[in-house]
Amino acid sequence: MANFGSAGGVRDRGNPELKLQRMRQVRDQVLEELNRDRVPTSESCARIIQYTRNTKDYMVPSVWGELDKREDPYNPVVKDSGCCVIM
Amino acid sequence: MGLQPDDLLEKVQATREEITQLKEKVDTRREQLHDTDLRREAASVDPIPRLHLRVRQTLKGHIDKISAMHWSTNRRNLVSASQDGKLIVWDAYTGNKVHAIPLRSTWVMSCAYSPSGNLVASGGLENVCSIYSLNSRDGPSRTTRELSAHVGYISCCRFLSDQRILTASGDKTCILWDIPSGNQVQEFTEHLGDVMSVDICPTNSNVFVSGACDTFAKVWDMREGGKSSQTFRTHKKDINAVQFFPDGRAFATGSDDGTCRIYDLRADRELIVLGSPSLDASVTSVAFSQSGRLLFAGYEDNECRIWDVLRGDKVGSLTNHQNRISCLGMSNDGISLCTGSWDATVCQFRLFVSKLVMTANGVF
Repeated sequence: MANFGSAGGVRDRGNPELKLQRMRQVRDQVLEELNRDRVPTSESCARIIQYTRNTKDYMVPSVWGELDKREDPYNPVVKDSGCCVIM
Repeated sequence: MGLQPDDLLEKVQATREEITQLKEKVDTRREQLHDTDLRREAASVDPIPRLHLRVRQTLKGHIDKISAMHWSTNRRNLVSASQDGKLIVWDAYTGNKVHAIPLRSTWVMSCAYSPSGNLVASGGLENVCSIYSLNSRDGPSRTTRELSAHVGYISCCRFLSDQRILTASGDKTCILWDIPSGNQVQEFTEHLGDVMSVDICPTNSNVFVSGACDTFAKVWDMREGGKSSQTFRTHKKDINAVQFFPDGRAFATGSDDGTCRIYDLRADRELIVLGSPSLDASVTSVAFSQSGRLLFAGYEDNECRIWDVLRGDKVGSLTNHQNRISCLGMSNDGISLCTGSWDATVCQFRLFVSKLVMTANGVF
């Protein structure tokens, strides 16, 4: 989607020394990546499933039901004020 | 200048090969820990019946393409940016305009609301991020601060506080700014393509994720001196949108390859791909529901699709826009979704439970 002119790409073109420097940075980073601590996928899946189960979500009515009208800021319930109404 | 150009080129080539091999090793490590996937783990979770959202109101006021929108944390206001050259701050409860801010450049691509609700920001093809104070005596008609250093368009901006804002740019960098002084605090330069989107971690504002046209998503800790801490490389085309999962330990992406993906920081890998083989429309925008169970995704084919993040099912579809959906956002209270489109409207959706849909005015 980025078909807007961008000047950034000019920076490391045509300068092999800068290019090498950049590539070495990338290599060091991938090295760090290699040594990163990771948890098994199953652990992350369990955490995410648990989070969705424990967090109220009114966009999922099959689990959490409907928003109570009294809690709905978009439809404020006018309190019953007896016989007098202030106009 | 000790090295001849040929030596240099050879070294570049050698380093490139080394990187390729290292990346393969990283992939192997990841695969070793990939003992299951989210779809399989969620097989026992109840599927979500089809969701019906209805337009509560259409926010009308812009006269050209909407390029961005962002909710205030107060759950009530939102800001939208349009190529008519205006930012509009809306009251979502009433649909009224609270502020209409004329911009210096009409080529606006991004906007943001500060967490305090005091400031809004915008940026676009003029390469400048402009900050407006909503509470100043003269109103927000003049810029409070103009942040200028990017040499490409501003594709996205997000406040950390009233003092700090993060910008993403077509110059392949992100910049963290000090707003009062207008100075750069940190530059983030690792992307190899235009950076299209950033999101700040909801549980740790030092951490952010970026998505770019190099097809990579990167996670950064701003305290680590401009170095990314993780890179995710499974998209096939440009990433246009990123958003953190509400627990701050995973995030979603939307891409020109027609898919949304969920990546997990601790597993350091993709957990699920949301899409279908027949769906190749670009994803322009993504937002989670309150619990993260749903992912709302805006597409260039005018449709907003709703995905069950756990099971990977498409559970809803919003088809009221007449042109590309460019942006969307879920309010902090989790009850209202807004979508912005090139059809110049912002639509605000509410969920309607199925028995109400039967009597609704035929929107769906």
